[in-house]
Amino acid sequence: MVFHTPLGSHPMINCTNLLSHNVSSVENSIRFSQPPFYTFAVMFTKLYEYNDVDDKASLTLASKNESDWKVYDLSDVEWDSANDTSNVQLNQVEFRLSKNGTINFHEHGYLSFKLQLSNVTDRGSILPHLEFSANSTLIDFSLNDIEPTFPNSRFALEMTLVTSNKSTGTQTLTNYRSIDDEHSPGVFEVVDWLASSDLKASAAYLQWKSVCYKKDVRSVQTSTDVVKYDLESTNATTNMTVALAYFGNKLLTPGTLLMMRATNVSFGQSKDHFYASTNYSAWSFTIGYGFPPKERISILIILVISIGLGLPVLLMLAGGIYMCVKRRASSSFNGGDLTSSYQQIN
Amino acid sequence: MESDESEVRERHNRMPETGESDPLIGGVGQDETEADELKGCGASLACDPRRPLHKYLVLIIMCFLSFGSYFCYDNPAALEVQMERDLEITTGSFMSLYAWYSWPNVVLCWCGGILIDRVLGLRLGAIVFAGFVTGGQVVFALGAYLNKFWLMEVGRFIFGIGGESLCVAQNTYAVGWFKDSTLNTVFGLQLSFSRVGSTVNMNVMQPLYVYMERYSTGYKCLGLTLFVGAAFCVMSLLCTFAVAYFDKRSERILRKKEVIAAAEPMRLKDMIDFQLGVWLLCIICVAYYVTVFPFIGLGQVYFQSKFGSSPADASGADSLVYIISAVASPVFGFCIDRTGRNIVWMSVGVLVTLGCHATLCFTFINPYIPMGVMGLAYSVVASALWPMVAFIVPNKQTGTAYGIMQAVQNLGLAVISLVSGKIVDAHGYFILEIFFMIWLCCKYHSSLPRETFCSLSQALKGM
Repeated sequence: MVFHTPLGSHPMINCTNLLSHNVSSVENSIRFSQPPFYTFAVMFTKLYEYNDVDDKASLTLASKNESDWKVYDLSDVEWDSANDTSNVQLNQVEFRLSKNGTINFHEHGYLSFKLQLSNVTDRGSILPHLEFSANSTLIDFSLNDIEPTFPNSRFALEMTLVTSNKSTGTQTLTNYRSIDDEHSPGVFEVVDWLASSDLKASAAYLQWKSVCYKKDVRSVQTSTDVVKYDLESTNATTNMTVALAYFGNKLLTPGTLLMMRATNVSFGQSKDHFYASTNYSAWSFTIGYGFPPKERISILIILVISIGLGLPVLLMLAGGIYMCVKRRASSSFNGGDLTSSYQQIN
Repeated sequence: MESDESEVRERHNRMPETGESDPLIGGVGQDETEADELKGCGASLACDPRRPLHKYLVLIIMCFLSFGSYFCYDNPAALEVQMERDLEITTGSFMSLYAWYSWPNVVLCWCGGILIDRVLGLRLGAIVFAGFVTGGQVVFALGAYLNKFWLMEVGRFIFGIGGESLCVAQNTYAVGWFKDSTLNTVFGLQLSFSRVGSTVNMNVMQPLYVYMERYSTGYKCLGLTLFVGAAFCVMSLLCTFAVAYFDKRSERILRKKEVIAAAEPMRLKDMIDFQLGVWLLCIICVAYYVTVFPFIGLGQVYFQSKFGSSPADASGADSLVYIISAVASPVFGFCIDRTGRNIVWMSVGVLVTLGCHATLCFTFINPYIPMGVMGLAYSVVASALWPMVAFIVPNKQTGTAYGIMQAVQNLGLAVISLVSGKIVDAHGYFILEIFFMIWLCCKYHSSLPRETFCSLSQALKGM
């Protein structure tokens, strides 16, 4: 959840109410001394596990049979303490879920969201090296060592983006292809989920590349697809989320006071041998305030191009001019004989 | 083409003279007393070595010499996705299949050239090398069938021993038979047949794999598919026997001596002492080929990920270079024969290739277009480049010169294939394309400086 406030505005959090189990207490337990300009929240509401009988790797083409699906509610779970898994020096915070009544974790298995912050514009240290900055957060989502319910299990994550309705336009989910795959070899497609299409308005975004990984050591070989689906309107539940603590009952009537859309991403592509082949799935994305960075060609590449391609061209030109001059000079000696120095070879 | 070939074979079988069934590589000259008056069908247009028709019929068989080896060379590229999946290997180790072919050839086809020029003679050499090709492919397929990746590498190694030297032999045959007439066209035609081999491979292997999936799965299916490739190698082996027979026959009838200088002492000087032009041609050759072949090896996955092509489309675009050059090479070869100016043709081809790589790199234009144009450019460069060697070295050194040129080319291909795989894994395809473009610029540059110009034109004048 991100707030853009006037300078000097203080958050006022009523912890007793925030942590209570009573919906009406939780509502509005977060306030500010001066109201924020713009607020948005991303909620990871559900984790789906489905039996991909035909190996289509698509939620829309998957079996509609209820026995092929398991739905885990992520909004009402108890996270492990983040103190053991976080690293303040590296600006990393990791939230893990390793004990849960419904998800069948192996002994060291867990589900995790790892947040990486930075005060400068930077790129993730591992593939797909997404760009993030002071205005955005890099998040690695991973599913480690979960016992799949079905032999052909694949997972999908449901996400909801809520924004305070100060922006105009609707939320959009678009993908485009970049010519440059320098930072994520073999992956050209970038997906942007924008809270607003109005470039002057406040906005929020999620950005990711169409790739996730089947092994801890990320490489081109361990990569597989992430499939996106259309945005859908949703009306949020009364689940115990931080969004509820701030937005309160406005969440029940999105559209008038709030803008709220949800979508799914599913992990895996056809013929990648399903989640069970490695019991691991990891996906990276960024959440940020403003508009997402465009993929652009790095300084290094521009240097390489200009030296590598420019220098030979220059030499070629120089050589060509030299030859012309020389030939002209020698031809004036030979009384203007301008015949080519080539000879027909047979 | 098959029917043409069988037609020739048929004539060969109907040949009345019993002397024709002598050992192919017997003592030179034992038949020299036989009358050179040809009788019956032996004297017909098609069988008389003095007639052009006979030459062109033999050319057809000659073209099939390296069909099998080209077919099998690109088996891995056609089945890249399946191999990486069934054998669970990285792109890096996949590319090593090409490296295992190329590395030994850095030395071996130079040796092959020398063997042809000095020890085995052209005819026996060709047969031995074709034998290696067939054996290597069998081992390669066996490795896949047993899921032993090291055995596959061994197979590629054996295959490589024969493959490139067989090309050297084919080139030498071509020079021997056609140097005084239409060498550019003949080289273009041979190139075209090699490309037909690769193209057939690119288009046949996928469906074949799917078909074999009915009988088995995974690496066993892969192995069975590769065994089919070995059948084509056997066919090429048979062709080497046929060409050797016709070469021997024409030599006897035309009373030529086979260019085998076994009596002379082997001197290192003869093996490396070439004009500067040959070495420059080598550099030109390597700088150009590395931007085409390693790229094709990686192309299928590139087209799928960047342009979103379906696997079939990607494979089609990837093999377009082969298809186009199969058609265009003889045509361009003919044009070059008519106009001369090999160097100008070649430079234009290189510039066009550079444009194609730039298009693939910086735009999302359908890859069919740049790959098609690249096919045309490649045909021009290849059919202009190879005959130049024959024009600047003496006959007795032809095999060695082609050997060296192929050796250097293989050195380049081996290094660049490995480097390409690594570049893709670490930095992606965009950087790979930039890398190729730099190579092309270097190549273009090296074909233009004054020294190159002069030495080549001097050499050509000295013809």
